Amino acid sequence: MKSFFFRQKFSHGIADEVQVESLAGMGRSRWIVGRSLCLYKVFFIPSGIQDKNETLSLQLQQWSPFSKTSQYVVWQGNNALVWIWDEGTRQELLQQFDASKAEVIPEDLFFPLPLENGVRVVQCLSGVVAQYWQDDVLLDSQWWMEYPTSDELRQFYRSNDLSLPAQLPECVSLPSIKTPWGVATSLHGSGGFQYEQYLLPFFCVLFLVFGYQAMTLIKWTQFEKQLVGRVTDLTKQVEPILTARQRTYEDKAMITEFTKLSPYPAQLHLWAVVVRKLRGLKATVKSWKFNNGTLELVIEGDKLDPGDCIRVFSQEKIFTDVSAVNDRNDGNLQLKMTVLKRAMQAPVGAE
Amino acid sequence: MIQYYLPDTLVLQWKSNYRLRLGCWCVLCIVCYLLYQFLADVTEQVQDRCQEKNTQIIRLQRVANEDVWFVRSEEISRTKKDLETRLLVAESRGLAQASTQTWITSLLQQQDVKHRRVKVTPPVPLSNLPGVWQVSARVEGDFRRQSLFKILLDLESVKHLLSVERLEVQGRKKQRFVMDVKVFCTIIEQ
Repeated sequence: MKSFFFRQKFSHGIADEVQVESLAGMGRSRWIVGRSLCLYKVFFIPSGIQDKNETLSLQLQQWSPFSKTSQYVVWQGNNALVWIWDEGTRQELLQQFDASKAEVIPEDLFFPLPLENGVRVVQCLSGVVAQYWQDDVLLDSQWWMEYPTSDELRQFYRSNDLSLPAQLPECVSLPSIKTPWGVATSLHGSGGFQYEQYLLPFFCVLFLVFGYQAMTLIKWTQFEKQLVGRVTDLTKQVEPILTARQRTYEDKAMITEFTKLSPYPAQLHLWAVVVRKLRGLKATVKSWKFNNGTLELVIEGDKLDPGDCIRVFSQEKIFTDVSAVNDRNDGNLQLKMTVLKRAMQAPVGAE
Repeated sequence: MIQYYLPDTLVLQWKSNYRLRLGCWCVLCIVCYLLYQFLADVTEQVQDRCQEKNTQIIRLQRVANEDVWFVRSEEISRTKKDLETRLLVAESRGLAQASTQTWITSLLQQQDVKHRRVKVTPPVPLSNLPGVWQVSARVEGDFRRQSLFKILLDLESVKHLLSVERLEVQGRKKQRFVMDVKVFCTIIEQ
């Protein structure tokens, strides 16, 4: 994680010399293999060949002079631009640096692409390199410790079937570009595309997590189906009971309404109760007025006490709010009370 | 392997642009998280529905054991029918009014009530009891204790469902009574 935030550039120009400098931004560190340590060649693999990488791999084995070879391959159409270097030497140097996870890229990849076709001589980390470019394809490249002699350059031109120019190219020192102009591909399905190695475990974890959740969902869905089936069965089973219950409630409601049609005690019963009470008070009914639950009586007797009358009538459970007005002029007493509605009797069996 | 199927520029961008890689991984993680959340939400909804169904099953099982409702229904139905038979049955509204008038008048005649007056209004339907009509009658006459009690006894001992809403006995020298009676009936028009 530390190397992720603190990028470094390891410039490996000469066999046992590595320059280390910091790189801006996040990401992997870079190990720049100097051109002096690389061999470069362009391999043309015809498009008819099914497994180009396998073919190229065989050709590289034949070509490489190193006991342990590493390569950087950039495909441009059917052309494979290949740099190889001695990985054994590099591994020995790696022990001195924390660069085991660094991207290994040849120096050529950081020279900017030429604006026109032809040959150019470029200053490297160590020495110079002649490059022959054609349509943005680096067809040939040769390294020298110092600027080559005219014979060496002529030899380079001739080897590429080029006519000699009037003036040989000068050695130029090019600024390094930030990102390599060619993307490396792996010959054996690993190493080139760095995140592929994480994809399998990542998707395995995803599969496990989603699989678990999906299984849970499936399990619950099946359980819900079982419950729905059970509900359906039970609903069929209880339907007659529910119908009977519904009918009972409806009938009960109707009976209640029937009871409300005649809510008050019978008049004869009221008369009987009143007369019984008045007998104790030694009084008689002079006037009777019953209207929708309110009973107003005028009673006649000797020395009628309103308090006694109220007490006597209040004792009867069917009367409430008993009041009395004593009219002393004619010896009558006017009583007023509310007759309670008949207690509704619950039908047998209903709740 | 993937890079062989992708355009070179895209692979180059992917390889060289760390922010692009980081962004894509973040997007992938967010998408996975949202998918997981979606699955979890759906699972939770299914669990809730199962809980609901379970409660419903418990309720239904409880109801399934309540066989007593058949007995209750029969008993209540019988009681209701008994009450319905207490309604005066008439073939039309006019006949309901007329028969009520005749019946009450005959009661008064039997008791020889002087200066009697019976006024019966046309039947009106009861909103809370479909099929039941109400016939209101105002009865007036000279008051004699025994005859009024006999009338009241006849009214209350009759099978028909009725209600005495008002009864007034007033007067100084010559007492009169006024009585409001409501008779309930069904009208079976043929």
